Amino acid sequence: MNEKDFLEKYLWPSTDKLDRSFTHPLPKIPGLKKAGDFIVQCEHEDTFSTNIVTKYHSETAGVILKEVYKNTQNKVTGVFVRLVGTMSVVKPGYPCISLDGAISNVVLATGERAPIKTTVAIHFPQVDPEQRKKVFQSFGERAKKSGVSYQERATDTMMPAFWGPVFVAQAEGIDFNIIRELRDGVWSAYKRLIEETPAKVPFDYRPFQEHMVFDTSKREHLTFKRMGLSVPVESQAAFFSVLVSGI
Amino acid sequence: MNEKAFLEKYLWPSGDKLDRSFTHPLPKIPGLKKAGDFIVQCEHEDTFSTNIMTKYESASTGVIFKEVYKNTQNKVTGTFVRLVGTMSLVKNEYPRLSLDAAVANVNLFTGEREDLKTTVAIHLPEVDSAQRKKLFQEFSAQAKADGVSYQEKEVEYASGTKGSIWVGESKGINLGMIHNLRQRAWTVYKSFMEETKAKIPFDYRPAQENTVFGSSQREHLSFKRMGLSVPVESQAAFFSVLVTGI
Repeated sequence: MNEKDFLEKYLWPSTDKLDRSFTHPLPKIPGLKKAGDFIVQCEHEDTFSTNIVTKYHSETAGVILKEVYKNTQNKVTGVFVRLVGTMSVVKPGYPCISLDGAISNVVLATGERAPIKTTVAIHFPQVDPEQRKKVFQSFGERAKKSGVSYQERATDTMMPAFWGPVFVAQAEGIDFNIIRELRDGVWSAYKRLIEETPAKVPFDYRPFQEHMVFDTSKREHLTFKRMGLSVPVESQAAFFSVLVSGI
Repeated sequence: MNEKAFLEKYLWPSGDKLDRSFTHPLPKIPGLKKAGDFIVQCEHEDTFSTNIMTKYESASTGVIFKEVYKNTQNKVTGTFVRLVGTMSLVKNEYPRLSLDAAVANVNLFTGEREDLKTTVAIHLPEVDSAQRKKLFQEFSAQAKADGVSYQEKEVEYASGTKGSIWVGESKGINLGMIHNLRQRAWTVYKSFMEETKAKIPFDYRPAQENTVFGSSQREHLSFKRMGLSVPVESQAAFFSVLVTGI
């Protein structure tokens, strides 16, 4: 064993292959500073699933923002689900809000191949249901203004009670504008919420974190499978770990 | 928005920069087939932490084998902790065995810079203490044959409960010691499976939760003492790959 070689050559960082012309401007959260660049990737059978995640922290607002650019694609069939600016915002003492910005050529629910569609889903678990309703109304107004269809979807019985309904907006084709509009909406709504509501100290994020890392990762592994995408549970669990831990 | 450009150029897989001349042969588990290649990486301040992991499954033995090559290094100070062939073995309904193989130029407990050292730690947190003691004797026999020092250490698990781990240590870079203990880990686990009844259903969840949420928090702080800036998220993601999927 050559010690010099081991010291110099063993293992170095991978570089990401994200074309940044497809990224969004950050939401206007004052004082945001980068607090970590992440790559979570899995390749299995004909599928790759690459997550590029960045963590930001704002001392002035006390907020942690994470955003995700992701591509899960079957290299042979061309089926893909891409996240283009998925984000989560959380201030310790308050519930975590997250926005999923997906562009895909497959129906997420049935797994059937379909024309390209943009779907934005906003999740606001652990929040007071009345507050959630109010926040979702503001997203509805933004979707209406942008001319895209939207609805509040009740979650199924597999989801924990604290999850509540999900706001979903959909547009035909690749619609970056609706993702941007709703990303801005998320920060405005969250800002208002933290200004108007006292913090809950300590806030127990653990049920939400466990649900994402252990349960959602299993479900999404199966959902991907229906779409012909081979994404091991471990890959989704690692992705969700980056998203929900570190609060 | 140019649809063609988005379809063709948006985001493609990263390649890993692992020099495979430093990897070990796989333990001799019959029927191993690759079931996933993973990269988990974080860069923060002057530190990078890159985990290259592979999952294998063996239909004939029912075993899931995962191995890790990892480098956590401060690019400015040169302090590093490298995992060179860390592995975990688990058969459904049996406890997990993990072997941590670190080569570092920093003391893992105090955070002080020191000469290069190789440390192998064996963890069997879900095995009862009498059985664990018996299994650890096998590793001690291997260490003795290799002429490296070893001990059993009482530790506090992330859950707050206490137990022991087996630790072998050697000066410098001792890939031979890691190699032998990896091979031994498989023979130990194999005889353990043969001699022990499966526990149906086996509840992996407490250990998974402790590792993903507890150990990641502890190791984030431990890295901090060494001058390595590794966010909790990075360790949580690494541990998620290691302990989920069963």
